[in-house]
Amino acid sequence: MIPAAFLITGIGGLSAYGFSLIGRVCAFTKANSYREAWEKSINKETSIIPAASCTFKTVCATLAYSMILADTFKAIFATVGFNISRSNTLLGITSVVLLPLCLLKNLSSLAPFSLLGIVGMIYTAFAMGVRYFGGGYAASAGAFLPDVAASLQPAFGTIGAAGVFSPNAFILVCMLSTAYMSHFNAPKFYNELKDNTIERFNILVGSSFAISIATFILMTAFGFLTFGSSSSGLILNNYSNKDTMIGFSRVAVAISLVFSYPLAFAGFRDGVLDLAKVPVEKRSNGLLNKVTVVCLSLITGLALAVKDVSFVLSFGGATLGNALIYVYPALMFRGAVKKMGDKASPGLKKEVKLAMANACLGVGMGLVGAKMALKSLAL
Amino acid sequence: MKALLLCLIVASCIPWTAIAFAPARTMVPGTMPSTHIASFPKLPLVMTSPVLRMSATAAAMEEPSEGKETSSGGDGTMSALMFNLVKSIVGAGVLSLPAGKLLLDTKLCKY
Repeated sequence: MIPAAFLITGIGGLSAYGFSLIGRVCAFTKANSYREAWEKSINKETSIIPAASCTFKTVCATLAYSMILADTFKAIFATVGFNISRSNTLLGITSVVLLPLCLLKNLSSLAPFSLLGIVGMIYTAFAMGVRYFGGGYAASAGAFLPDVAASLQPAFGTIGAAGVFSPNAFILVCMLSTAYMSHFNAPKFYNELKDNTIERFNILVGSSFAISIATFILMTAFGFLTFGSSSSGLILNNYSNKDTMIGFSRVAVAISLVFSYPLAFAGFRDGVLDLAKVPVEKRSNGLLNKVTVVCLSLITGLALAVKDVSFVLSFGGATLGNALIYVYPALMFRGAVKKMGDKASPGLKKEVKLAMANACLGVGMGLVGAKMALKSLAL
Repeated sequence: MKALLLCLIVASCIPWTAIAFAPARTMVPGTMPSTHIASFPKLPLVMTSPVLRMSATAAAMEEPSEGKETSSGGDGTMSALMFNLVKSIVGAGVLSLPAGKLLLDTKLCKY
């Protein structure tokens, strides 16, 4: 677990640096969005690159949402005595709940429910901690073990710390890239910060990422130390359907995802329309409804075919996640410093090399991580 | 290991408590979309927002002196933004990390 904690901390630190770089580019260019920062630091013609990356990132996001919802609702239904297949659960939830929500044109009423996300995660961390420390799933003695499928019961390997040097470590690295992903909002955070000096922005970024890193380590530790090498792609799947405390967790996660889904989906749908160069004034309700049905069908079809959410996270992180976190910020930073010309300090010019090294690291991790993710899917 | 985890729990609770009990400040509606951001994954609301405040050309770029230069900025306090940023990072994706950790301990792939 300790090598994994180092990986989580290391990737968190690199992600925080990328986040900080974007804020600094905004400070240099007075940009208010990721795309605008790109336009002002590099050029306008290529600004479709971060826009397209973001759109495809939302595809991964909504796909992961659909998969988690399918697994979670299947377990919730099983808890109350209905054994419904994953496919039927997903199709039912999508057509009865998600489609009407995604057809909404005004999503502002859903905003308060997004707060449920963090409350649900805090409760889930608490519940997982109670189960780990309480020994409810301890090998051969756990009270809930008889209700857990054999393939999901705790099992522990023998590789230990040497595992961090395994090529498989790149899969965890890429999953972390997805988990830390929030960089598209860096310009908003910078511009909304009161008295937004770079020093204060860095304090904000450093503190927030430190809290996130600690939370990630805790939840990874609770899940892995409870179930070991049997840990499922969605750790809640490992817990018994008769475990009431975890049942509440599933409900909290499900509710937060249901109401967050339309927000993520709107990003995907609007991104598709942006890339198709459909002007905002021509986006009639009829067109939006048609695009919604097509996009949601596509996502649901993918979620039916791909069952391992960790693959989506690792492959998405390896490709688009690494680009948005490591590569694009470094390129923008280099472009901004270059455009400063003689006004740039020697320190900034030296830091460009560091940022570009970070970008190269991102490319390397992305290539190996994508290969490993595809390989793990084939096994 | 359990003692180590307990220490980590206590350590990670301190900043959460500090944020929770910091002087509250409501975000100005429409200016800080991170309250609308699903915890996982993160949304491109910035990109899709039609509101852009263009103000400077690339030629006018200058390096602000670190820590001294202040621009107008917004109204967001450090604690409120910290809560929003953590909320936008920590999401359902974390529930998959134990599966990523197990990959370190298995030999699924041979190089």
